[in-house]
Amino acid sequence: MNDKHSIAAQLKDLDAETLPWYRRNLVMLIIAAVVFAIALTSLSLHLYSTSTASQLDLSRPGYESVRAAIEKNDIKDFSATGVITGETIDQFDTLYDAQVTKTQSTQLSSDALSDEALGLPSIGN
Amino acid sequence: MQKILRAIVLSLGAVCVVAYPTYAISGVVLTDSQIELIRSTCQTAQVNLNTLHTNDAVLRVNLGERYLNIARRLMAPMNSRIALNGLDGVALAQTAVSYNEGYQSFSTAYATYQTSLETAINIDCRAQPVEFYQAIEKARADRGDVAYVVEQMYTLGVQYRTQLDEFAKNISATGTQQ
Repeated sequence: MNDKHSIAAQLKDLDAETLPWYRRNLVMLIIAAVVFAIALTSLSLHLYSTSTASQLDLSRPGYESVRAAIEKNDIKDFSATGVITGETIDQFDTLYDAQVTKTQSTQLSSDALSDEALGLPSIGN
Repeated sequence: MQKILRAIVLSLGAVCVVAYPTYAISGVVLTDSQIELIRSTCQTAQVNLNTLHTNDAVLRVNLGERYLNIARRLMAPMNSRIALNGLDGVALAQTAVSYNEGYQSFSTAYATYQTSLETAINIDCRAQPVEFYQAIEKARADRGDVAYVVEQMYTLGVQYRTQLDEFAKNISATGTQQ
């Protein structure tokens, strides 16, 4: 019995001398992994919020009601190769006009932020 | 005489105390009563601001997508095609470059506007009504900047179309059309 204990103790001592720290101390390894994961998650969240990515992400909570208003990308590609004829220009014009007309937005009028629209007493506008 | 003078001075003092505007925000003067009104109605305003914030996010996504479609899937292939055919498309290429730069301006202007709007939404408006109104004024100005960029983008889009018509006339007139 004593021999068994002594062999186990000797093996433990041997492990402590030869194995790297992360194999000797599993708890430390887990803590290091968790800290590393938290640091990376924080960094990615910071990048997400500071870049314009968050403004384009309508999968966030609170945007459920407006997701249906996102327009489908149904534009046909115009080929970058081939000859240029009156017909190809006409084809291009049809595709182009359909898109440019949609960029004439009147939804950004200043009225949306007027005192009246916000329900505030009329002060400045 | 002294009594009259004293009465005049006291009256003027009283007028100054009662009527003196408390705060001035970018040309708009807020009196105490207006500040109280803002304080009492600001929570409704914040709900409306939040709705606007959500609706504008869709507008941003849709407009941004259209701009990118026009620049990358229409202008760029057309300019390449003109160049591959050895034709003069310098003016069109310049407009396409301006259009891409305009998209960056749109993205930046919208980000600034969004930040202003979020500031107004997150402020404790009952405790800070003046700061709340200042944030709204800032958001108004920033929204105006976005609207201006959107207008410029549309103008550039129309300009490209006009230049393309001119280009089509030139190639048919000179007979370089393939």
